[in-house]
Amino acid sequence: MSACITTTNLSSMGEYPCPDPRRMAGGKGYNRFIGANLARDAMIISLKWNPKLSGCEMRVNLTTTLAEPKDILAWNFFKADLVDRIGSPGLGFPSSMIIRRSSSMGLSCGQGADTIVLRRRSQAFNNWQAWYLFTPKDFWDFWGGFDVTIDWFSDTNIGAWAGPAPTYPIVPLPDNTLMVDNAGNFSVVFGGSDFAIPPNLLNLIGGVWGTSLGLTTSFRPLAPTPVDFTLVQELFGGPQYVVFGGAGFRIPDVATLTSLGFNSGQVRPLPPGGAAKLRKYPVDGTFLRELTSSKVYLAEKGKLRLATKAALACISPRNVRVVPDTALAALSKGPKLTK
Amino acid sequence: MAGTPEGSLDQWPFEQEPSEFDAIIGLPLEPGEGHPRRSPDSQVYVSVSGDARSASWAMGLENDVKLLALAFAAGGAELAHELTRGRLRRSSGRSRKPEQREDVAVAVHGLNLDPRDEEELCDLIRMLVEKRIEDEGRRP
Repeated sequence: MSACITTTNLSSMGEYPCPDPRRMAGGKGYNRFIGANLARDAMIISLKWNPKLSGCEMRVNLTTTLAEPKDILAWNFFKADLVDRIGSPGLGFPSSMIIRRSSSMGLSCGQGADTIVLRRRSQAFNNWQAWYLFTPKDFWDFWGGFDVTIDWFSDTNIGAWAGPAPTYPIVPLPDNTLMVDNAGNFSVVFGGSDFAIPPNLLNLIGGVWGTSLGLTTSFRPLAPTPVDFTLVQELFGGPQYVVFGGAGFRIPDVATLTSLGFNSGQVRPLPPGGAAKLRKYPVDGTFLRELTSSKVYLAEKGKLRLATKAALACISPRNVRVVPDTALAALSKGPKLTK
Repeated sequence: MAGTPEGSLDQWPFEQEPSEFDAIIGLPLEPGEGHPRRSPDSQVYVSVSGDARSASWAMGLENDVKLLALAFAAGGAELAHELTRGRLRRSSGRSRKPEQREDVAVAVHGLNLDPRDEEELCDLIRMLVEKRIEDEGRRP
């Protein structure tokens, strides 16, 4: 058993949060698109889950066409120094690097990266400025195993230093929002996804969802499935489901609901037929275990892959979703996950 | 966007509307706010990694270490010892065999301590870890 304990004041000003891609509604799989509005700079961060990487690895890419040089350091707190570096074209560094989580995979305290540091080269002062970084634990727990592409497109921004932690779920519209499209079709939003309301239910909207037709907003495309931890049940007695990776996992009884840490007040009523929108297999990159089992599976290409002990070392428990017992029995199993 | 920081859009730097992103990091600066500056000494970041990351004795260790480090920064070794009096002792962990002891590596950066204080702080952190491991071993 080893422990690496480090103090540093590197992050006193420029630390920004890492939103969890598994807890924000979005497009295909766990591909997510984040706007980063930093103190002097602005960038777009694209996250794409990479099946070839373990949770202790990450590919970081930098794209920029700005004249002022930029670089990204893989930073180790124990060394208080960089362990790898990428940079703007012209700096002589590559534009992509694969980094490993500090002290993981047999690395010693001074190896691997705790976070990344983003800097810009001031021509006027001839030094490196900005020193933005991401909250280290979240950086690895949430973005480990992803390709992280940073498109640094502005260095004339005026934003605030540091940033508040996000609150979850991150969804574009809150639950119970009513939308109407140009053809007059209504839908209701749960977990950041929209569910069509049959015309014969329109008069009951107030009673069912506590809102009214006068409070509708214009239709906009939303995520294909609700975000993780959304609980749903079709009106007129359909089963209750908890949603993880876009898939619905049936909750057989109240005792299980409670054991999973939920209560019935969290269950959202879907219009009839709404549960058909839930996936049968969770999206690639979803980690699951049954309530009374310690076996953790990764969903990939329609199969569940059992994580070996070595693989578990790089799976953050924060990403493992707990489903009712036997909920995984019917899903096909694939080869074991070994890293 | 629910769950995402909200603020003025006067300085919105993106071509895209906020709704086109899945999440937003950072806030626009409010008019007249100026860039806030924090004293570099006002924050200490503590990182715990290695096998300890998943060990139950390490839960909340960052907070304890941070408190020690801040005490050192504010009142030197005297204040740190005052805080830990009766809680930590030099003999902590020595009752266990060497092969049972954890490999605890400590690096202190950014506190501007003199070498003696730095070594003292590292010792206290090691004792803190030993104490937590011992306490865990006693729990039923």
